[in-house]
Amino acid sequence: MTLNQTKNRGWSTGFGNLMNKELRSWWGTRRWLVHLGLWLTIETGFILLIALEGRHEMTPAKGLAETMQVFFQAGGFFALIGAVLVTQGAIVGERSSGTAAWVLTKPTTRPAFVLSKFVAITATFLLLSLVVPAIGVSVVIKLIWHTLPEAPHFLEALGILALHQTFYIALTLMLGTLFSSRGPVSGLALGFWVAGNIAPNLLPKWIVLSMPWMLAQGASAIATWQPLPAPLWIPATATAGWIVLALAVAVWRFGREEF
Amino acid sequence: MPNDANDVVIRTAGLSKHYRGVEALQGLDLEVRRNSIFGFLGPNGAGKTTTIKLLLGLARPTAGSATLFGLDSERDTLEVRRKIGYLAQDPRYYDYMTARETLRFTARFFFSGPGADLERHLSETLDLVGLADKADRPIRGFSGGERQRLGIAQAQIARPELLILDEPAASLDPMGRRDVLEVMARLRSHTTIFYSTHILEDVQRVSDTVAILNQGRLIAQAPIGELLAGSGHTTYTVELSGNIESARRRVAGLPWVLSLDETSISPDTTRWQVAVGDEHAADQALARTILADESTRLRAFGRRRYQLEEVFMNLIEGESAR
Repeated sequence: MTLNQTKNRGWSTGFGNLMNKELRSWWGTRRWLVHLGLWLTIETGFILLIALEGRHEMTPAKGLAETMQVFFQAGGFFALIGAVLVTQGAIVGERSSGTAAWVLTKPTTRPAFVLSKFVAITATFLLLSLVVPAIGVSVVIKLIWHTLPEAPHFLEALGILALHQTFYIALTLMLGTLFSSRGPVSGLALGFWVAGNIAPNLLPKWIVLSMPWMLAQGASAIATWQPLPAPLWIPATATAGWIVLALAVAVWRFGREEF
Repeated sequence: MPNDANDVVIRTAGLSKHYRGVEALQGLDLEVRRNSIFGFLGPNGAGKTTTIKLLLGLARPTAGSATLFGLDSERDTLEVRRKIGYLAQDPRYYDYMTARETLRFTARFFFSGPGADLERHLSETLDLVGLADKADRPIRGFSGGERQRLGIAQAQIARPELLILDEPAASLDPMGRRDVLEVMARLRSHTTIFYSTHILEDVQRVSDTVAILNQGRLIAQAPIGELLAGSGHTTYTVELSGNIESARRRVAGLPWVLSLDETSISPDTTRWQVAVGDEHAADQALARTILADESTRLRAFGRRRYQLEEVFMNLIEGESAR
């Protein structure tokens, strides 16, 4: 038998194996199918209904603008809630069930444990809740109005929305390392989003700009050629920074966890 | 002595753990030798699981240190975990995985290399623990015994130098317990087994060294034979009938007899527990002294063999009374 001992030594020891396990929990079960059905129904299905309803009244340009707006608004809202719900138990659930303690007795690291979840959830969730429905929406638009969204704008808007969802995944993951039950984890993550709807009226503009709150609205504006509410590079860059910070806090806090 | 140092797999020095004012473990000094089956005993809440968590790096000590294979349990935790297989008291796995997938997931932390070789190793391991026929079923439907067998399989999948088992037989029926003990005995030839339990019968059957923990403190650590020999004195159990008065006087007068406790076990039979300070003299003269009077009849005679339960209870009660 030629089984060789693994030789990693750094923080990434066991990362690949943990990633495979995380991906297996999606793609090796019916979970991916449930999510695919859910997001196609909510996002593409909703738009299909609108398109069928208004196909005779709307010009292709108008139809495209309407569907893009609805798609990005729905993506910014429903998929955000989905991202929080999908991530809320990632750390909390494993800690309470005892599987985290079991895995951490193997030669792997705590940063690998946390980051493998982030990468797997982000990649899978964005694919199922954003990329596939976006393709679905494009197909609907093509079938109904025989046109397609302009690729650069559409892709830029998708990227901005993906950053927005990624932030909420990182935030929820971080909260999962700070609290021991799902309630405060999802409550605070969704509360942060709600705060974003109120904050523009209460907080100085520079604070609002440095948060991810404007990203969903910005994505919708980009996709529909509307004027941007503010230069998006500021919240986009800041959000990337917040994601890194949230992951750093999650790794630090989980590293101090005792089982 | 370098050889002696290589021979020690686990060594703790003043290992302590406090949880919000509760002293779960106090100054534990422990030494576990290579290829031993080391029974770690204690009542519930004694600190057994806490010790195991500290060894595995799942918790940090408040004071003291632990080394495994000469490596620090905190600083070198990754390297330590490469050499250890662990079975938790209530093992939990990912329910959506099958037994084979669980083992594959575990093995991939330790091994890289051709998939075919790994798969062969998985099949052999599943066979070893009697799960070959259930290998590809999701483990959410497994019974407690099957989960425990899977637990042993995943713990030893990488052929570790040290197996740490937390109450490995606690939730099993007698058949399951026997199976677990047999697997442990089989693995002993190439690994050291450190296991916690409160099933004293199992410890007496398979362990060669025992440590007893109570309220976070180590109250005894010794080879099992030494522990079962009692408190340093040899004790003889004697059952006799007939005229025992003169026999008692003669025996009590022997210079090496330390104590003589008498209990009546039936209307005509009495049992003595005779503690002696000179085992050699007792072997030669005790029975003869008793039988010097022809009216005394000796029904049973032998050195007393303590049961671990008795030793355990004496130690725990003695410690609690302090």
